[in-house]
Amino acid sequence: MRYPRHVTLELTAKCNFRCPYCYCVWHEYPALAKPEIDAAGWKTILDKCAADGVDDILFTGGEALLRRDLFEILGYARRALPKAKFSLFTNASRLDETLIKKFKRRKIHLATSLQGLRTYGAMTGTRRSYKRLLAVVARASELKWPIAVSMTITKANFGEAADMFVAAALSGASTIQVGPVILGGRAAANQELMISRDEWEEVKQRIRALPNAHVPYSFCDEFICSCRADTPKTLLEKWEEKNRKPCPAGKSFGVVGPNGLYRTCLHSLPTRAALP
Amino acid sequence: MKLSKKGAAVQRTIHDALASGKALGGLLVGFAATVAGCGDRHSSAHTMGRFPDPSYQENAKNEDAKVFETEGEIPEPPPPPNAVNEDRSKALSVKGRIQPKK
Repeated sequence: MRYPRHVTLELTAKCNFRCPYCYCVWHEYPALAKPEIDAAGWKTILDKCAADGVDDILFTGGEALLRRDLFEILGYARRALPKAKFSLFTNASRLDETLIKKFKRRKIHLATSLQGLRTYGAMTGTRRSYKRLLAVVARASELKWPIAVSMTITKANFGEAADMFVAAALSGASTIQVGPVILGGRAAANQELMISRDEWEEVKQRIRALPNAHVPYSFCDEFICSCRADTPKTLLEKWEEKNRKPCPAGKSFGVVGPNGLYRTCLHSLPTRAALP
Repeated sequence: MKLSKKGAAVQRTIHDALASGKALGGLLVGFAATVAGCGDRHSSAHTMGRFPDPSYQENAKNEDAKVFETEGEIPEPPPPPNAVNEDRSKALSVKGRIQPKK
């Protein structure tokens, strides 16, 4: 098989957050996280990325910054794919000024999540505050290496969605992406967190009604991944978007999980062995 | 996380507004220009486990629709509007639109 142009590498399933809506498939299928491949395994996959002409890689997890050999992998990636675009998604809990500068030097773009403001602790399953996350975004912006911020809207943070948007914008988010909880991962066991389509439309209206924040933003309208063959028909009928465009999963993008298995998207199950 | 004076002030304003139960929307009027120079056209298309249509951006005009463009050189983000006085006219230009001076 040949990798598509855009590939996400889930470097680890380990995470220091316990977000109750986390989409990661190993929360439903723990075997997909094991065994985690080592740096040598990722280097083999990166060689394949280079051979297949991949030009855009997102490094994520779990929490990618928990890997002690992260920069060994990133360094190898840059040598193997000198012209590719690299991004790293992190919960930012371990991100500091030194690391921001390190990513900037390596031209690795950053992205993070703002899970809530007053609800940040509940939405991350930690006792942390949103304050550090916003400060990290602000510092990155000051260092001219801004972070894209994504926000997942749940029943819990629904009431503060517009405030989350404003807080991210004022802190210097480079772009903001907003979407509802997707049914899958931990959210499959926490379906009470899902908002209705009407509530989602209300969130979009509230954000559109804000004064111009001069920040590019986008909305994601997906509530469910249609690729998943194991999704009960009743849930598909309830959450699937009508008249949706065909999903390009597996064509323009794909994912390699912590155990090296290839999947067509972050929500789907593995179909082929990723290791050549 | 150590921030500049201005950055710290923005953060304090956010925290104070939240602590007093105020909606944050009104703060955008006063602070929008502070963050206007930070827009970098790098992709966030993969964030949140989602892959939106890369040509789609909610608040883009047609000429800005390729905000998720991933080809070519990675551009350096423009300096913030208040960073260097002599470069101010350039810094105020974000995505081809001139921001009003505050």
